[in-house]
Amino acid sequence: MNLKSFVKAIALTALAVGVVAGPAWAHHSFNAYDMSRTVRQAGEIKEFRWGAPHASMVLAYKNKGKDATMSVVTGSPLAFSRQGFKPRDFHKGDKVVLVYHPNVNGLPGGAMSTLILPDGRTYKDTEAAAATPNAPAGGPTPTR
Amino acid sequence: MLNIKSALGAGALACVLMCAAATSAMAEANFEGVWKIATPTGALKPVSGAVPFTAAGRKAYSENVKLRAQKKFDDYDIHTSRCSSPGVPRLALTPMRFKIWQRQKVVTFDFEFNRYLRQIDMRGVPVEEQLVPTMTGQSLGKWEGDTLVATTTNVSENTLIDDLVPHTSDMKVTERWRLVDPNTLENRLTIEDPAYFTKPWTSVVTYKRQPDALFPEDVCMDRLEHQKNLVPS
Repeated sequence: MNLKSFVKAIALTALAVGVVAGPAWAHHSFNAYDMSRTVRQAGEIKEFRWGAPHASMVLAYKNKGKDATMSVVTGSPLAFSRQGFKPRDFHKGDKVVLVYHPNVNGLPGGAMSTLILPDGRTYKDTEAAAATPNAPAGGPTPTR
Repeated sequence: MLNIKSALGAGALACVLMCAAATSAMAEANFEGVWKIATPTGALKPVSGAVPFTAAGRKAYSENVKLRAQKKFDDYDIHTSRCSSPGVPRLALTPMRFKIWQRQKVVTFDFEFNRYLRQIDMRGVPVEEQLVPTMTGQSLGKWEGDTLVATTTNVSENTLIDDLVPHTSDMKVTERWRLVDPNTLENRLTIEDPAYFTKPWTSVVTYKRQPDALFPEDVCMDRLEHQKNLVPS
């Protein structure tokens, strides 16, 4: 391979990596949520759907006296384990307080900011925190 | 030079080793084939008495009974509401056929219903506990003579033991699979979960051999959609 074709190969590789990395970055975007705002809601865990790179939690709560549910996106099982939580620590019916960044489209739910468990322990979503307007410069911290 | 005596001794030793290996290999039964539950049922019934619920277990069970009466399936049984895997041990009650494969130190259950899959690890090596409890959990197996003994832990609380009985993620299921005769397979299951049951309880499910067959595609979600269209909510 001469120098010219070597440089061309490097450029093509860089382009290919860029194409792949683009959607991956978009996948981690918090554009769907109002990251400048948080809402606090007490309720019960209805379900945790564990997955990577994101899990989600369904909260059952009362909305003006009526039964309602909302789904919030959150970190992977590994992100939880880094803060000392195991998926098996979370049970259906656990009374929790959820703090979340609401959906910008106005529908219930959004992105989890913190989750306060019945025993007072608190999970903080570091990826969401890094995406808030007040976060230190440098963009989201890669946590997973 | 090898004398006759030591040659005979070595021969006898070799035979003992080979014969032991052959006996061990023969002891591993062959369950391969297509099977179907002998008596279809939605409930895993204890061989004697009733399910020995603790107060917490009975409360969770009663809640499920109430939710079923209200047809709120998604609040307690996501297998019924959204085709999620019934998990272990409920897959033992699958109403359709399943195929067993014994290959590469894994016993695989290939279910006709929604083409679910379940595997028992027969390698006999230490494994790390899964971070996330799953529907079929972590099944480790070994042979005790002609009986396959599988222990399953780390099963998600989002599954049920049968169509109503709940469990926690601390549940341990011990299955003893054996051929009663060439065409009858027995699964003797023992359930332990101290939070929900006062003592271990055992149930027996039997299966009948079916003709070898390729299973057709089976998409549970399509069935649910079809039902929704038949009965608009």
